[in-house]
Amino acid sequence: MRTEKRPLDTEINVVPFIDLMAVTIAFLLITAVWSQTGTLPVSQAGPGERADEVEAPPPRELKLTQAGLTLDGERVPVSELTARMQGVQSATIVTDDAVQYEALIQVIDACRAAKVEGIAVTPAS
Amino acid sequence: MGIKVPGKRMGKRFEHSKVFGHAHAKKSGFADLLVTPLVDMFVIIVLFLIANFSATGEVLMMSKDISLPEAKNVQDIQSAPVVTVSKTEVLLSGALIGRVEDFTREEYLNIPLLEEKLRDERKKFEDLHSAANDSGAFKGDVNIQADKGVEFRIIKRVMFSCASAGYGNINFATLNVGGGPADAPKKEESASR
Repeated sequence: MRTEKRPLDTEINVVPFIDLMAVTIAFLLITAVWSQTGTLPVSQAGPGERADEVEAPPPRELKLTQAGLTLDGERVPVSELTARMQGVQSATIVTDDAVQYEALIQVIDACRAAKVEGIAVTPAS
Repeated sequence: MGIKVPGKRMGKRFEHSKVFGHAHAKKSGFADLLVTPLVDMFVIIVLFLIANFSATGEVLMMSKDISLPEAKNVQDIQSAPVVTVSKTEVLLSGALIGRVEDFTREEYLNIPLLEEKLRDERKKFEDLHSAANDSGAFKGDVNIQADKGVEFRIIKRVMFSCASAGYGNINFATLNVGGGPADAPKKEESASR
């Protein structure tokens, strides 16, 4: 009986693989989120919430106006705020009506960089 | 220089050219497409896309008239109702609440329509969860997506409305410009547990 010799080099069929890849790429491209967003959590001191008031030590008061930022009555530039807030547990940012949102976010960001846990935002007056 | 046979003498780089080159060799009619580089490229693209795949999806609808402020120390965004404050209008989950101009003029502390809609949203959430016998408690998360130029007098009213509707955990949406991962503070939390 004669056995027929088959060639040893077989070829993998790559067509289904390429199909799968193409479909996966299309799916991932559509679902991809291109803008990297995040959130800054804040609590609200004042009329909305009263739970945090019993906490000791009392929160440091940051006053944010259009003219600038003051920490417990002393003027502080935002760039130095992170260094000044080291070790502080909680802070209340008293914000003036005319302040732009971006300025407020910068202050919250600086506080979070100093690992301040409870950041509250409250309107002035 | 040696003596050359007269005739067509093109440059050396045309030796293999079909038009100017030497006598053509008979080639088989079948051209095999090289799939290996194609597959390589696909694998790399798939790996790249999987690496920055986010399971949370797009919580915020980015629009042209809202430029978010930038921040470094941010948390991962949670899926929650989104209050959008652009330079001209206030929206809740895409539905119009009112115009910023009117809110600037009014002297109220809150935005009544926004508060009402948020209460509805909360009721819907609680009904859904009680119907499904789900113990997932209402956490009161809300995302505020505001343009960086908006004044605090509007943000204040939005925050107050959220708080009185029971949404106490207010999150300000920002663009993450810190090189690190967005969930860096979260990892610390899980490590301390």
